[in-house]
Amino acid sequence: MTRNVDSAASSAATLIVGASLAGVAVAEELRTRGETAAIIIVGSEPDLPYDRPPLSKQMLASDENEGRGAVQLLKPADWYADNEIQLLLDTRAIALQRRNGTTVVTTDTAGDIQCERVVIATGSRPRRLTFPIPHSGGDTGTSNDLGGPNYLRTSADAQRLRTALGSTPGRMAVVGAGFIGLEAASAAGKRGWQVDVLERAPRPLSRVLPDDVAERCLTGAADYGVRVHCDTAVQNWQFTGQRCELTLTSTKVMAADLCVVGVGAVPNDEWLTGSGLNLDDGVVCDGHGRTSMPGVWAAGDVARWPNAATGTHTRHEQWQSAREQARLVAADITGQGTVWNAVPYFWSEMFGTRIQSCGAITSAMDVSEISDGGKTLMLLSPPGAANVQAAVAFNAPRWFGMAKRWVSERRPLHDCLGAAQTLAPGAHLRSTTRKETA
Amino acid sequence: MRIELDASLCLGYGNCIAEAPEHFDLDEDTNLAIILIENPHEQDRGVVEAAVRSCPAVALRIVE
Repeated sequence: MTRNVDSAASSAATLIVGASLAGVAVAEELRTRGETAAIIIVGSEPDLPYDRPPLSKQMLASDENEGRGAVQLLKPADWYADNEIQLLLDTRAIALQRRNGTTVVTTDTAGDIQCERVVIATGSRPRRLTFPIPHSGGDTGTSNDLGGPNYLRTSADAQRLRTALGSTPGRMAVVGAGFIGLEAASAAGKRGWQVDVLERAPRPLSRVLPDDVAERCLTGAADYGVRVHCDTAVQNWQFTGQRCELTLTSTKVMAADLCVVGVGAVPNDEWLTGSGLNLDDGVVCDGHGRTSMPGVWAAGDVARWPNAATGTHTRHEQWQSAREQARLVAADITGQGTVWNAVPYFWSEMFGTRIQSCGAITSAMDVSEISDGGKTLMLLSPPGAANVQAAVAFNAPRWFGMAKRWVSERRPLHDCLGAAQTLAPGAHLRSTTRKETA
Repeated sequence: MRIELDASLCLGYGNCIAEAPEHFDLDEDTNLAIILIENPHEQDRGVVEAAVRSCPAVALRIVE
């Protein structure tokens, strides 16, 4: 069955595959830019589109399913119909192909949908931790309502974890000291759980941050009852309901009442295999979000975009990037496109610290630190360079606002330090040059 | 146009300051945004709209 959008409008209609942040942002921006043709959004989850950052923060903080603890919808339920956007939930796209000059997307329950313009925004999913040697006895670690490890990506995941955190606090094991793992650890610790975070790399947050910065993120972890163990890989595990036994070495096993896993994300691009699209750790795009196929764009976690500010061409998993890319795709569709040149930005909250970061960060950078009481601003430069390439702020949103400007202007470091002194006359300044890593 | 802030939604991200530092500031004690110019000039519409749209908490809006 081929579903044709109202044929009079189908030549200009847009099909958005993916109903999360990027997908909804494309639709919103199209309407904002005056696009009147039909828009269809297809989403695999059954829930109305919602925001993901609160799932690992506010939603885990308490049992309350209201106010800040509730799932935050991206748009009110009637927004879609009010804006003539057809929303198909609980519908999964399973194939895409070019056919007679249009693009046809095959779905599992809604047949084929044919549109002149298609935007791929199917996001990413948590990487699953699996072990090759099957364990005798107990569960192999498949998550279901009865137990197993907790991954954290969907509202169902967050509600499941929140329910588990609501029982009498015990011991929680977290596999992976990335942002998801540490945020979950922070929420659990605050609720009285004793948390052990197991990280196989020598440092936490090693994928994204240099040593000094990562270390500063973890200030306060001990106060939350959270311990981070680096150089500690999980070799195997077994589950009985939510309870687990993690094998760390041949002689060391850690038992816990609850286990959360955060070991990275993989793009949801498997459904595009065989479509002819250029795929390489996600859907490869240019600076406007155009894929290798005419009439097809991609945005968000599933897409690989070049960024003119950093000069990189990678997949971005940040909230801000997804939204910016989505808006650029909509601009391109309506003929008003520009390339993506915004400085990358992300934020996190853990152990009582609000962390904000912008710019291109590598693990080898010179760090200049400005601090005043609990507030810290770190300005990062490539080794020996005179300009500020990135900035990370801790509990200092106002300083961060200014630093973000400096980074986008590629301001010289000494200028920024001067400006910082004016912003915060009592602050303490400290510079460190890159330490040689072993 | 007039800029309005819903303080109950504001989480002190500071995106607004980064986009339009002449129009917004952040109260360091409360961590809430401060609107410096409640009725911006029409010529500043670009930066003001960018600031309003940059808020992850959707705490700002423009009322015409």
